[in-house]
This record gives sequence, structure tokens and C-alpha cells, in this order.
Amino acid sequence: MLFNSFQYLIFFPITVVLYFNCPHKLRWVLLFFTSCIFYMALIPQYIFILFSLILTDYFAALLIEKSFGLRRKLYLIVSLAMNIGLLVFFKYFNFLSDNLAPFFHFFGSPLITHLNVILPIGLSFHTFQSMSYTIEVYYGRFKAERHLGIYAVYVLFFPQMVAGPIERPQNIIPQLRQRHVFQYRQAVEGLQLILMGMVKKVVVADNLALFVDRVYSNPHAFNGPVLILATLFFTIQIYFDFSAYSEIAIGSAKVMGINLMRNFNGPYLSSSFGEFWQRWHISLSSWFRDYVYIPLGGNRKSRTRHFFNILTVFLISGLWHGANWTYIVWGGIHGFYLILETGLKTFAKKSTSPGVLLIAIRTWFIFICVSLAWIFFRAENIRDGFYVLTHFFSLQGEGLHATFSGANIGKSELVLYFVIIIVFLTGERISLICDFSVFFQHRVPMFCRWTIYYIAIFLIVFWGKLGSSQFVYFQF
Amino acid sequence: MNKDLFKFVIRFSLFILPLLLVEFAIEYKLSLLPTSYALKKQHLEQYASDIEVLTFGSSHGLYNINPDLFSKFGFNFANSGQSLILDTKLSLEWLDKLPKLKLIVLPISYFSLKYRLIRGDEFWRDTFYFKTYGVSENAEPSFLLKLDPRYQLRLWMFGPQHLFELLSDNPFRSALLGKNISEKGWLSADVPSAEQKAKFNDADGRRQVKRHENLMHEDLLGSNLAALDSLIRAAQNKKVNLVFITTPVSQAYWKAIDSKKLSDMRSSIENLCEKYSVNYYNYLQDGRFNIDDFYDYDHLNKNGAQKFSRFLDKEVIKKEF
Repeated sequence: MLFNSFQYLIFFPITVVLYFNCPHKLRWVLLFFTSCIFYMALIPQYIFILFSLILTDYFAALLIEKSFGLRRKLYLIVSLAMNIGLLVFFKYFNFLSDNLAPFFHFFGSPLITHLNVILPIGLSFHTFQSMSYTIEVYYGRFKAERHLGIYAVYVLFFPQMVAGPIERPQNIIPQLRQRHVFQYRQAVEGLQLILMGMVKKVVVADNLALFVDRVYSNPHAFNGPVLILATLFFTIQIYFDFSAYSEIAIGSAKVMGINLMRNFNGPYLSSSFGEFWQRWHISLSSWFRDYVYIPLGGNRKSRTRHFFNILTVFLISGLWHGANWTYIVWGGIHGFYLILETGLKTFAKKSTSPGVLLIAIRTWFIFICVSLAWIFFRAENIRDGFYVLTHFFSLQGEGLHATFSGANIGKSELVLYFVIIIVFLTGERISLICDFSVFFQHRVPMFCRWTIYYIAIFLIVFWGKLGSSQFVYFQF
Repeated sequence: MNKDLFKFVIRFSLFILPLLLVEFAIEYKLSLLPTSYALKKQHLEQYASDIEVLTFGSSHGLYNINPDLFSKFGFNFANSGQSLILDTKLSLEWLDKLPKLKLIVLPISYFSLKYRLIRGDEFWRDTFYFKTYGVSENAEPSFLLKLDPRYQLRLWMFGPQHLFELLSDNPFRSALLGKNISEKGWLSADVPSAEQKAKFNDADGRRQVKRHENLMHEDLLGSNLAALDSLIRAAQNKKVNLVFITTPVSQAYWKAIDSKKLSDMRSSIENLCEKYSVNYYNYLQDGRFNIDDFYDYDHLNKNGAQKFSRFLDKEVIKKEF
């Protein structure tokens, strides 16, 4: 089920009403069934893949907790192999078979055939969430959950099951055991997040996608200014799309009294690449930091090894996003950025805190570099990516005016989207200084708050692309 | 009731009340507007005793066929997004009500055999069929679909972005409400200016083909063919001839068509033709049409439609009568 569908508009309030009217002991049952319905609205039979993951990791964690030494490690390896194996089978099999075909051909082996399977939605997210559970149990940082139902809800919890945030067991499982009562403040804050997330998704991201999709489906047909604008639009689109999903997920859980982790924290306001990765898709970045980067040695080894660790993490992160070389290149570019930044920091003088102007210049520089990397993330293939990158100053091809009219975006719409983007980015900037939601709830008069809600609903109804498009991160 | 919950229910009700009142007012205002569906029905009823040729189809049938140019009394019963299932259901519904009917012309587009309205973005149109003609692609709309505001509220059925245009008098309103539809059901498309024509290109043609291919679902082939099967049999029982046609497309569209999908479409239709001894007239890539005849990549403009309708009369209608 999509958050931006009418089904969710019906599903969510019903679930909330049932949740608060359900005896505490049975709430896990309700969440289990509603989460299954949520997932099965897409491809029903894939729920069995999730069930197999849940059973494997549930029993693996119990065995890990009971065992010691090699046996403990063995159980962890079995659990990880199951998770990664499923991911490789569904997501990377065809990619591997395409790329290994020349080797098989060279050695005279028969070619591996293509699998005609659809990637289960959100598989990368719930395998990573499952793996974090067994790893945490392995390191003794979390006790294995005895209640299979509670553990199943940890993996299946509908607000975050298909596109995160990728939660750790320490945050979710204890909350699933807590007795939640309806709280006005939490419900309002949750609904605010859902409403603002909807504006970001259906008004901004989906409308910018009309322009971006048109250009990136055939970049050779457009001139440089169009390619630059499409790249900038995609930079905004992907952020608004994905952060909107996270906000709707966090908001939905909050209404039910469950707090999910923050997944974005004004990433485009970062003044370094390191800071960007602490603010972008925080749940995934911290997953890679804790379970790949640190076990590889992090920055505690030699400089060369440190750089190798950074590059490895980013290449894997790129591959996590999709079975295509474009994602690997995207990850590689970010790895390169971070290595360069880390290297330059060593030579830079330790100075007092930088001035406002320097921070602004740095922020713009990071924004541009991140936008350039997004080219490969969005391009259909590496060749198209390089074409876009090398044709920013080309004057051949369709111009801005024709592209806007082809994408059905008029001047007034463009101004509207621009204003909304500025409003949201300003809100994020304020949030970095103070708790904006507390300020909004307590300092802004009710009349103003309601006016903002009405404007948001008006924008969604009249300019939103409702019910038609998936969230970009669903494909991962 | 929990104190917090009580506060929430009261405030939420107060918040939602003005929205509901505005929506009721909009619904009332829109309910007074006629639609292109109602308009066609009105004309169909008006000419029911005269109609000899009935043409169907999606926008390809709606824009490309002008029955005014037929030598027999014709009526264009096509509409945007109309699927073969709807063509069939409408035909079966009206066969008995048209005493002089002798020929049904059924356009088959590149995507038609694997297409269904309710599986695409324009699924809301199905409600108009149900409300106007009492037919629907759904045997019984699903429970969730019944709850979907896009299926129930006129605001969404027309599209909220068009609300101001609908409530004021402007050209868009005329088009949406079918005011440009002729009494015999034809909707004419403007002739593009030289500047607009110069912008026609292969990439956009490919995009249009891709859009149509995205509407195609392999699993629909069997049921669509079965529907055609029942329609042919019902027509033949009533001694009404039926022919399949495919309307012309531009070079840019033609070049982007998947040859395998096209040949599958052709062979399915040809099998049906052979089985029931009906004819198929394929104008998909007809050299007599050039860029000046098109409104876009797959729809003829006013002049192109008149040209095509004359060919249709001469090469199909006169022959089949």
C-alpha cells in the first residue's frame, strides 16, 4: 500500500482506532495483521519471503544468545547468509549473470539465464533491519526477543517496513511492549508530519518528476540548461520524495505512540561531506557505519586502510541502492568525496570556527557536488550519466521552454513549487537552531496553524499527483 | 473517553467541518453540469431510430472518425480511454435499441487487446459509464474502489485542477463537457500550427508508444478476446456486420512500435476474423497520411479525420453494406 493512496487514507484511521481500542495484550496481533494487509496490497505472495526471514532470524537470535565461540559465530553467519542470499537472489541475480556472462562464455560454460522475478518491495530495508537484530544479539547489546509475535511486528511494522527508517531493535521492540494511551500532542505532531510529508511528495516531488523523467529518459534530446535544471530538480525531488516517506512513516507511528528514529536532518544544509552523511538517510548511514565501517577497522587503522574502508562502505552502499553500475558509480563518487575531504582536513590548519560566509560557500559547494553525484543515481546507464555531465554547456537540443511545456509545468506552477521548496528548507534551517515543532505547537496561534493546514490540504488536492506514483526508495 | 482523545475528536471535527461544507457545495455545483458521456447518450437516444453504422473505440475512434462524412447514417460512440470491454458492453446494451443498425466499426489500437480502463490512470472514467449508461468494466466494483473519492466525488472525477475552469466559462470547460462533440459523436482536434508541427520528433513519439505499452497487461488478452468473441456472436445473431479497423499513426509513433507486440496483435485479430468471417482493415501505416494530417503522434486533426472518414466510407462502409 502506498502512503499517498486513498487506501492508506482509509486504512490508517481504522488501524489507529482499532489500536487504541484493542487490549494491550492483543495489540501486537493487530499490528501484525494490519502490517500484513499493508504489505500484501502490493504483491501478496511476497509476504512469505518476509515470514521466512522472520522465522530464520528469530530462531538464529535465540541460538546465538545460548551459544559461545565458533558456534555463536556460525549461527550469525547462517542468519546473515539467509538475509543476504535472499537479497542477492531477488535483487542482484540478473545483474551478476549479465556481468559474469563474458567469463562463463570465455570458459565455455553455459550462460546463466535471467530470472523473471519482480523485486519484493522494500526487501533491502527489511533484510537490513533483520540483520541489525541478529548482529545486536551477537554482540550482546540486545537480548533475543522471546515473543515471536513481537519480533515479527518489529520486522513488519507497517509505517517503516518498506522504505525505512531502518530501525534498531533497541528502539522499537521495547516500545512495542509499552502500554500506549492516546495522547493529543503526539497525535497532532504525527498528523502534522503526515500532512507536510504529503505536500513534499505529491505536490513537489511528483510534479518535479514530470520534468526530470522527461529529460533523463532521453538526455541526448535536450540542451545544457535543461540538463542542469533537470539535475537540480532531481536533487530536490529525491530529497523531498524520500524525506516525505520517512516523515509520513514517523508521523504514522507517532500517532500510535511509537517513536521512530529521525532519518533526515536538513542534509542540503551540510557544510561538509561528512556532515551530509550524518544528515542524509541517517538510519542507513549509521547501519553501514556500525556494521561495516567499524568492523573493517574504521579510522583506527593506517591511512590507506582508512580510505579503503570509506570506499568499500560507499561502494556497498551504492550497490544496496540498486543492481546497476550507475548506483555503484554514485557510491564511488561519494567515497571519493569523503576520502578527499578526510585527506585535505589533515593538511588544513586547525582554525577557529569558520565565518558565516565561508559556511555558506561550503554549503553551496557541497550541494553542487552532491547534485553532480545524483546524475549517476538517476541516469538510466553510465553512458547517459556521462553525457549529462559533459553536456551542461551544450546548446543543441530541446530548450527550457519546450521542455516545461512538454512536462505540463507552467510558470505559475514553477513559482509555486519554488516557494514551497524555500518554505520547507527555511523550516529545516530553523529546526537546526530550535525545536521547530515545539515552537509551532506552542508559540504559533491556533488560527495560523489551521490556516497552514488548510493551505497544505488545498495544495495536495489541487496540485498533488494523488495515488499514482510510488516513492523513489520503494524500488530499493 | 480519554481526555486527550475527547479534545482531539472535538478539534478535528471543527477542523474538518469547513472542508466538508465546501466539498458539499462543490459537489452540488458540479452535479448540475452535463458531461460528454451524458451528451453522447442524449444524441444517441435522439438518433436511435436512424443509426445504421455505429463506431466505437478510445480517443483514436473519437477524434479520427467523423460519421457526418459517411454515406450511411453513422454515430461515433467512442470516448477517451474506452476499452474493448466497454465497447462490447455498450454494443450489447444498445443492439436492440437501434433498429436500423447494420454495421459496427470497432477500432483496434496497438494497445487495445491488452488494455483495460480501470487498470490505468484514467480508471475514474469508468464511473461515468456506470452513472450514464449503467455499464462498468467491473462486474462489481471492489469495496475499496467504492470508497475511493476518485470514484465517488465529482471533484475528483472531473479532476480538482479543473475545478475553477469548470465553474467558470472557458474553452477547457467546453472541451471537458463535450461541447465540441458533434451531434454524431465526433470530437474534432485542432490543426497544429507550423511552429507546433516543427516540434514533432521521434523521441516524443517513442514516449507516446511507451505510455501505451505501459497500459498493456498480458493477462488481459484472453478476457478481451473473449469479450470480442461474444460481441461478434451477438452482432451476427442480430444480422449486424462487424469490422475491425486500425486507425493511422504518425511515422514517429510507427517507428517506435514493438514489432513483436504488433504482430501478436495482428495475428489475434486475424484469427478472430477467420473464425467468424469478419474483415480487418489496417490503416496503421497508411502512406496517404502525412504529418499535416495529425494533431499529435497518434490522433488525426480535424482535416486528417475528414480524410480518413472519407476513406472509411469508400473502402469499408460501402463494401460492408
